[in-house]
Amino acid sequence: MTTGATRVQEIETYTPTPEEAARRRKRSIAIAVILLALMLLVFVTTIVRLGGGPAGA
Amino acid sequence: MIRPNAATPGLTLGGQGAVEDYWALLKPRVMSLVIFTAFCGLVLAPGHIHPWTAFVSLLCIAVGAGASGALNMWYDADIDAQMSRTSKRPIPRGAIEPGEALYFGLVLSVGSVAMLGLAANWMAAAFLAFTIFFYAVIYTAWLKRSTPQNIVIGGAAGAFPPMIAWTAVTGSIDLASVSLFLIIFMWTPPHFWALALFKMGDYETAGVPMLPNVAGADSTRNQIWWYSLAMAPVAALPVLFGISGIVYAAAAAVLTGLFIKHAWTVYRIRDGKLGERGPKVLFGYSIVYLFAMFGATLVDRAALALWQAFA
Repeated sequence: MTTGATRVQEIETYTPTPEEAARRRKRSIAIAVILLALMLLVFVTTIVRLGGGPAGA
Repeated sequence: MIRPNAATPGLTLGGQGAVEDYWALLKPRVMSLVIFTAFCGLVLAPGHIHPWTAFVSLLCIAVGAGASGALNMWYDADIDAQMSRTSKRPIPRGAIEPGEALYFGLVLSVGSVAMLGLAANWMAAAFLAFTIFFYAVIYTAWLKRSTPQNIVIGGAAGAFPPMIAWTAVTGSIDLASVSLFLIIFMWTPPHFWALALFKMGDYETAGVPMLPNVAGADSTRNQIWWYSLAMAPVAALPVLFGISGIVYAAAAAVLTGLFIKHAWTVYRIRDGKLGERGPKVLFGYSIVYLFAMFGATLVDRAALALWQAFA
């Protein structure tokens, strides 16, 4: 039977395979790029909207 | 790193898919058509829109369409696994957990609608929200498995993007933009029924009541023909509403004539190798047709601008 403590230990000590690690690295980069793009998107949109007029015209 | 395994039962947190798997959830090929038709809606709409707002609007419409694709794949994972055309999708392949696809779709839905509201206007945002709801709930969860008319009504979801883009520019839903909607709406049944004719076995296996499985191949060929004829006058609507001119009219006449020719072949030749080939040719041409029809509206607008510059 697996107790709570050993289960946590199993989770913490799990070592990803090289393929899993590569996938995780690509996911992390993608998330970082998306977050940066989102920041830029909101920032520039705010500037454009402050220009006034319908739909930033 | 946490992953589901025998030692940690119940731990199915997901998040282990490749970036490409998440991208596939967005149905990128469908998204390309959405982006293109929405771009045409932006160009044809009267009034001015800031280029950045136009870019963000297109992005939001594309992400909203992708979100509906993810929600569709979540709901349809069971039938996707049974059909050759869809069995390699991320969920049936086991690359992404169903729950992940659901949350991915919901987050993108809310994000794209909110961003469109903030960047363009809330009428366009509400329209995008309705389109996502229509595709995910009305079409996917209700119509698709219950009636052979599924794609006749459900096709509206794929036809809304140019209207949403139009609304992003004008802030209102105008009758002229309905002409762009109707072109896609009337095109959808012959396009999907042509596909269903040569993928009948797939839909039969999955228990999806597509027209060929319910009414038979002969009836489907008849319907393709009549819908194609009904599509022809709709192709002229952008001219009647004054949003396109002579260049579009000429292109639409040739393109729609060819569509009807291919539909006629499907209607007339039902047996043998030619009978099998007809629906495949019509399906392939129908994709070219829609891109070319909307492309013609852009060429027409560019020709008008050139004419005005030099006249």
